[in-house]
Amino acid sequence: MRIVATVPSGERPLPAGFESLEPFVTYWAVAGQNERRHQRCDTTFEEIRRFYDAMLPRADAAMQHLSGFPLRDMPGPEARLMRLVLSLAQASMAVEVQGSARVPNAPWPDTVRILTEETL
Amino acid sequence: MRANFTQAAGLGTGPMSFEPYRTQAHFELERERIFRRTWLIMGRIEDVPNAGDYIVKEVEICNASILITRQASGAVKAFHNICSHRGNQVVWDTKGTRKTMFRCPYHNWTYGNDGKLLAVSDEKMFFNLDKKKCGLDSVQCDVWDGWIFINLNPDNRVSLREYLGSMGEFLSGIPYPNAHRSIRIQAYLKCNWKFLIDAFSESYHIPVLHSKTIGPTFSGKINPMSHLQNAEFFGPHHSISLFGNPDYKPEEAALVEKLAYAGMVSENVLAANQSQDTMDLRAHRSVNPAKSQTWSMDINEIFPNFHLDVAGGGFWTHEIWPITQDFSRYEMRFFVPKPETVREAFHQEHYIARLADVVLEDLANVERTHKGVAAGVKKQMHLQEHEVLIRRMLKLHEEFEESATLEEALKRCAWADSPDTAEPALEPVA
Ligand code: FES
Ligand SMILES: [Fe+2]
Repeated sequence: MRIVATVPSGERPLPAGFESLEPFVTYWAVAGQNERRHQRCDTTFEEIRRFYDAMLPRADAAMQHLSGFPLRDMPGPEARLMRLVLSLAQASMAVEVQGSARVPNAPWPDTVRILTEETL
Repeated sequence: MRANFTQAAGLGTGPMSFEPYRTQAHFELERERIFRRTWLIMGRIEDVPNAGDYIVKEVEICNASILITRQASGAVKAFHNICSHRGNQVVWDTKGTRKTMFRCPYHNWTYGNDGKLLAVSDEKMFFNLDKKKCGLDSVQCDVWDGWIFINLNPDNRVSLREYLGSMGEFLSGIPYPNAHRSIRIQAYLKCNWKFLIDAFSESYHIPVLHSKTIGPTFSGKINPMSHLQNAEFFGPHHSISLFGNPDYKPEEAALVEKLAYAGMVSENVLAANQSQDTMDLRAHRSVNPAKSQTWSMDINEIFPNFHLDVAGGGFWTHEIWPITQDFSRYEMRFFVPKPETVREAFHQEHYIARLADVVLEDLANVERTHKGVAAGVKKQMHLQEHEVLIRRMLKLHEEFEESATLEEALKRCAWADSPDTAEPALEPVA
């Protein structure tokens, strides 16, 4: 399964001030908790770490910026920024908890699915 | 002599056989004497909040697909999801709203959500068709404290209340926060279903298997092996309370965890809710029944496959469904508030991400355990005091499998009702 976030032509990838995070949009700004978990599990620890290191210092500012927009009806750039923030929670499991991309010695791909009532 | 949990439960202390986990004969007995007889969890009343709402649930071990509908009268009804024409499934999705009629997609036979056959396409080409006799087959269905159960035995005469017995009274009236909204973690596992039951029935493994994820919250200086705080036994059902480490703090380096919990005044890391929103829950007489100061959560097991877990920060459930002898479906359901801000959504993402990792530690493990046991090399396992629920589960299965009826099984489980509260043995009792 290959999942990517796309940026419609004419739209900026992220709100002004967050340009440094643009290289992470395609892979990490995907919609859905199950999809974000998939991205975290389907890459290497080094890639997760790279995203974590870039995202963590901007997370608070990002949430600050996003607090001015309705959670379920954000403009494209804000929606992608929000998804980057949410992906940070997934990435932190690898970096802060497991010390590896996935649960050590668990199979990948696996049959685990996170089923939500709404897709953020 | 001080009674330990194992003795209080009326159980022996010898090793237990692995056979129930690996033989097809046991699996057949479980199908006929447990799943075709007992009351089985289907969901919450909030899953079908309005007239016309429905859900479809699978009971794979019995080849059953169950349609649950909410009637105009407010009643909840259950039917076999099987068309009276040629046996196709009438409803093909798993849930829906405001639908009072179901049309079988094969040849358009149409049923009301009360099960009645309303219309048959090209009816005049049939021969003496009695539509009144061609409704959906109804399944016994009842609701206890908002939980919907069914019973697949059409001749069953044990009510849901009788079935839950003293466990139902024990748990009754718990106010479940956010019962209307849940996130599920679902997985299919190559293992016998009882390994999953066992995986979520003891705390002995927590400081070891979960050493990085939840080990530090469920064990600590004063209880390094995560010993149980309490155990209560109610016929075939039971409830245990787990220790919570009062000294737990996120590690210095856990910067995202700190950020996620920054706006939360919560009970512990397994909190989906703010502390103030679970006050009623924590005040309930049977939540943390021993009212321990170092409590984390209760595991309430409703026989045979439903765990209703309650913690200071909210509640969640596990459903464990056998499919074949060595293949099972697992579903965990977390009841969580609807996030209104990005910070709340971020906290929830972190909460579920952590739980998915914890659960995956268990799930990868049950497949390994199954493999080891299926090898047939080992004859039996050795269970310690804090694995009492596993010992008890095996004994309860024996009672059910040797009984001709559910009534008899419940009678035989009378030994299992222990009104006296047991004290855990700090040292193994000889
Ligand atoms: S099987 Fe349902 S209409 Fe034919
Ligand atoms: Fe576990």
